[in-house]
Amino acid sequence: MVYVDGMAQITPQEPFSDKWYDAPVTYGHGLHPAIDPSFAGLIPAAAARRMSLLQKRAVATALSAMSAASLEMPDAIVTGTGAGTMKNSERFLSDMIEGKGEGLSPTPFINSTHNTLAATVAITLGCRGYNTTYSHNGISFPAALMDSVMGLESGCFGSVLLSSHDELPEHYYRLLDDAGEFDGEPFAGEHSVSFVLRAVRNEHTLAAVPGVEITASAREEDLRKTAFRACRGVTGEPGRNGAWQGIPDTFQGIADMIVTGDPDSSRKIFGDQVPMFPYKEVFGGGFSAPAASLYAAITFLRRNPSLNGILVHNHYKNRQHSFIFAARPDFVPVRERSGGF
Amino acid sequence: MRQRDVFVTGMGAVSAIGNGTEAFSEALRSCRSGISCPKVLDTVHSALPVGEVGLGNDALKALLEKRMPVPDFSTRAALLGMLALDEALESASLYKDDCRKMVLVSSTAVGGMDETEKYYPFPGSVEENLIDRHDCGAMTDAIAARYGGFSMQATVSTACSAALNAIIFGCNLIKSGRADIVVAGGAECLSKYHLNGFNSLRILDSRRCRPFDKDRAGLNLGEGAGFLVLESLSSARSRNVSAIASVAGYANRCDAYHQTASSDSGEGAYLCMSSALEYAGLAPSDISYVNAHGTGTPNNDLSEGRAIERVFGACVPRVSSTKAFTGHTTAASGAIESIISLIAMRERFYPVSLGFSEKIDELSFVPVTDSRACGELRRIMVNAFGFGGNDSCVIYEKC
Repeated sequence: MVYVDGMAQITPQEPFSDKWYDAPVTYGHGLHPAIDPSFAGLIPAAAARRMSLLQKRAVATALSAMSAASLEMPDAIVTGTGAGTMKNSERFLSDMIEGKGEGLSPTPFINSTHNTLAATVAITLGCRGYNTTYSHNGISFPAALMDSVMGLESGCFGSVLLSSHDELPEHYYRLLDDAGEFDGEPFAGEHSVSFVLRAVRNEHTLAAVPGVEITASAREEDLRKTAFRACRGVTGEPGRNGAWQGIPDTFQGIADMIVTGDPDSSRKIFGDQVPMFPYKEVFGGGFSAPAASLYAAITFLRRNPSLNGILVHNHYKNRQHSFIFAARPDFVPVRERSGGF
Repeated sequence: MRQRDVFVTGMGAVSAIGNGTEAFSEALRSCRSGISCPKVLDTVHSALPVGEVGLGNDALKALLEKRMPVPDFSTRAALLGMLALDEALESASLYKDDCRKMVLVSSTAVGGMDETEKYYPFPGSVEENLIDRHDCGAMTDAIAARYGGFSMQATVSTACSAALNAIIFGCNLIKSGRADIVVAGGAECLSKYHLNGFNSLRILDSRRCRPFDKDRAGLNLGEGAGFLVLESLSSARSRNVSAIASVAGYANRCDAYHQTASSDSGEGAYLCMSSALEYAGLAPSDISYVNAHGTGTPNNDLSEGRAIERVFGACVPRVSSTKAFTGHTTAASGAIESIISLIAMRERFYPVSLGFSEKIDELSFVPVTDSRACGELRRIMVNAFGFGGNDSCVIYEKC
């Protein structure tokens, strides 16, 4: 189990604020970029001049989450991004075609590699610890979280700066939309979200994360089983921990709410006994949207004392589903309870 | 010494020196480089040497379909990945139906950019829109789809160190009990984008690259793929398969110095090598061979060389860079060079640094140049460093 001690978001909702919880900005279909804060005062001006917008968002959310968690230097920086700094990729591509490969400025190329975001944050902080980037469409953030959890649980590091960032330039959005990427989604958004995770609970802890699971199975029974494992904080195959005595059909009593990227899919798996929050109606879809879903779940836990545990469900085109369980800081996972389950 | 709990039970690779580990072995032993001018890639930089897999996409597809169908619109990196994965699975006695119980962790920097660059600036009919093949994850999903899917798929993208980070993630999945078998590695293809990008940085050698040579003048870009089958001891035992090696240790550290250049002292490189040794519970003198990142750029080789001297002191083991054979296969390089090193371990020879003639003034050691040198490669260290200072190191140990 790991603990979330700080978080910060730049999304289509007001940045660095949970105003959306009471009065969300509402959007119709289409592309709705993130609402940027003023970066002056957040990032040193000299450094900011060399950064593209997504790099600025990455540094700003990282510093803000670290300040909330009173963390000066993370042991590790783990990042998710579906398409990296796409505006830089676009710029280098168009320069290349116009210049026929001659006299190209290397800056957009350098800043178009997917790990540029995590590198920019590491250089800004002077952080020489573990540093990696997952780029796997809507699974990027869950994979980054899984890596972070393994590092914290094994004792390899004590704190992680976990982030996910994506931007959607107009032309890229149009091609994606033509290819059906956002079919069935309320709107397309941009998301930069950072979290500080620690291995040990402390006075800054906002929530516990007992489990994160990813599966490429589309069978409802497998999905229920995988989600159950996330909720119980049990890793490995059923049977190993002696904690598998039948998977419930409904998650009532296990999760008080399901924050979901696709309510229809969630209903098929979990029925309709547990209240659902279709977070994409507020934050929009996109490769990094799952980071906003964990942020939303933790905000619910903070703002609503009647909620104890929230299941976060996302999937990418039904190719892979991810389940994250967020709970109040005092949550005790099954394997640590006496007498098993 | 730390207990070894992750084993390599299969491997497969393709690059400019051939398709498969047998072709690799033959090329390495006979000092046959795969560097040439581009024939498949359509580029204005037709005189820049590259490490190209000499088959077009249709030929790659035909080769793959002798075994199994290939999903439509598979990009070049995915096709190369499939070739390497076919060999890796076969060598580990694994079949298509086993995949749904295994995890696939791939890596790439380019993803589907080789197709994107053809249509992106020229929006045309929907038929030409391969945008859902552009991102890194789409490549891994396409590879997985050919085998009917894995239990989970993930993709690492940390530029040129990505495949080693995929291997590290795979080892952690096994150690944490989340998986019994993980296939980990990476795939990369040449594209105009990538070639022009490196060219704009002025770090491409107009001749064949000369890693660790005094007059080295840059790198040659390459393409290819490599996958390792990583397995827990209990799984390997129950399947009754023998291991090629164990993964003794690994580390990932960040230079945190510059987006594209390495620090003069090679701080990130030093930290990842020394941390990997510590994690493995090994002393520097336990290492028989270092497959260096050794790109052939003035900056990398000096910085990495200094870091190697800091780690190993006066007793630097045999070191070489094999990039003058394959070119720099960027995100895939950590997997391809792990496989080269494991072939060398199995067949007891030291891969040479082609193109070396004179020692770098600032360094005390020279790389391996004698292809007849043979010996017991008990423990091998593989380095891969990337833009952004993403430096990783994996140590393999003979079983």
